[in-house]
Amino acid sequence: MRGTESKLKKDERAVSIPLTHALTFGITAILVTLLLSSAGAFLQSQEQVVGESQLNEIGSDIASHTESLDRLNQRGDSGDASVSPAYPSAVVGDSYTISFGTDDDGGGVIEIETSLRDHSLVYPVSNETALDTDAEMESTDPVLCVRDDEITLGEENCDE
Amino acid sequence: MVDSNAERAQLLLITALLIATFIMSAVVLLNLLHESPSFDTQQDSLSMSDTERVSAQLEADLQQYFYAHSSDELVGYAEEGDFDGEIDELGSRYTNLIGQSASGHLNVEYNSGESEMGAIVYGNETTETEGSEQIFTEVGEITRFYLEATGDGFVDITFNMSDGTDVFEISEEDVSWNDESVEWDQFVEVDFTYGGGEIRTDEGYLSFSELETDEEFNVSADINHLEEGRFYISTQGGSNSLEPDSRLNGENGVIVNPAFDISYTNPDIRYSNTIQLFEERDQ
Repeated sequence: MRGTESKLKKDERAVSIPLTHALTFGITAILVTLLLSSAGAFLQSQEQVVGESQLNEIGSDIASHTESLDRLNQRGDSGDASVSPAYPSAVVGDSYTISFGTDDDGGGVIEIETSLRDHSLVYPVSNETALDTDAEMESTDPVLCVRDDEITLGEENCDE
Repeated sequence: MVDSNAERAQLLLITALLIATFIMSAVVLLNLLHESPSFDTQQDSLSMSDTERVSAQLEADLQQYFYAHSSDELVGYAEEGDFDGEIDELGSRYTNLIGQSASGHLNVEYNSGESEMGAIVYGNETTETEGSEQIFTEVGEITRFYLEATGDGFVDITFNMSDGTDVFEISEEDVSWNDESVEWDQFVEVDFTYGGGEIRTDEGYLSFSELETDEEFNVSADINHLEEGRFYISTQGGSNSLEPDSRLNGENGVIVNPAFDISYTNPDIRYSNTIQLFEERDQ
């Protein structure tokens, strides 16, 4: 009996150092991959939340400026005003484009397009002065202005 | 457990590799994060509200200055030469004042090209006419008609425009414009600018729209008694037709509706506008 135990203790036929290494790296690789994918998805969703929050702030601010320009234009005969807000050129790494549009009822809206979302973010505005729906501005040069009884945006339209 | 130096070395190597892999994974994960700079929209929003506040305040102040410029009666006219220079001086004072309260630069100038010249007839509680007196002939447009009466004394005033087409009457108890009337007791204010205006009293309100007059019309006044108050009518162009012995006051060739060029600049906003004190109202 003692002889059999001694034989088993010295039996190393099923033990392989390369196999141990392969198993260790394999399990580690699987764990790291799972960690990366789950953490990556979590970070991406958090980025989207933060990005939308910042874009909402920008959209609301542009709506506020648009209404202020509208009120300034209604005062006097030839209102001419421009505002250059200090917005970031990119939100969570993506630039964005701002334009004016109309909703289903014909009311004015501000649209922000970004690759963060499939659809534009839309913010309604209350305005008497016409909005230039052909104009758009990139996030790198945000400027809004009222010219010739029309509220427009973008450097090329406001510098004329 | 570790039976030899060779096995110990292998264990250390594997541990080192695992730690290195973990660190690399952390680096990769952190690099996935995009930097998004924080920003503050408060500054330019404040600048925008500053611009609105300053322009509204300036307009109100210019209106008060215009009224107080020529007479203590707060009548809406000004002599052109004096007014131009005084607005320049006022503009300089404003620029300094705004520079102390906000980070902006304000400039205001009188715009003679856009301003309207015309004639004015005015009076107060000391003014009476002997029956109906013609005060304007062949008027193109009434720039402003303002009347204020207070107290509970006897009042009897009639303004007849275009030979009865539009008649304004104020008696002791009510104020009427053509077929409509509103009662008053202690206070009445008539404010008519170009195409329309309103009558406000302590007992009611009446709005009226455009004059039903022809292109050119005459205006006559019958001021029997005004216990306490003042009134004036100014017209664009033309001249008043007051007789030399009239007890009404009048001026010709004066500014009846001044225009101003204003501009306000601060780091975020550029604003310029031409404002005219009295503009046609939307009815």
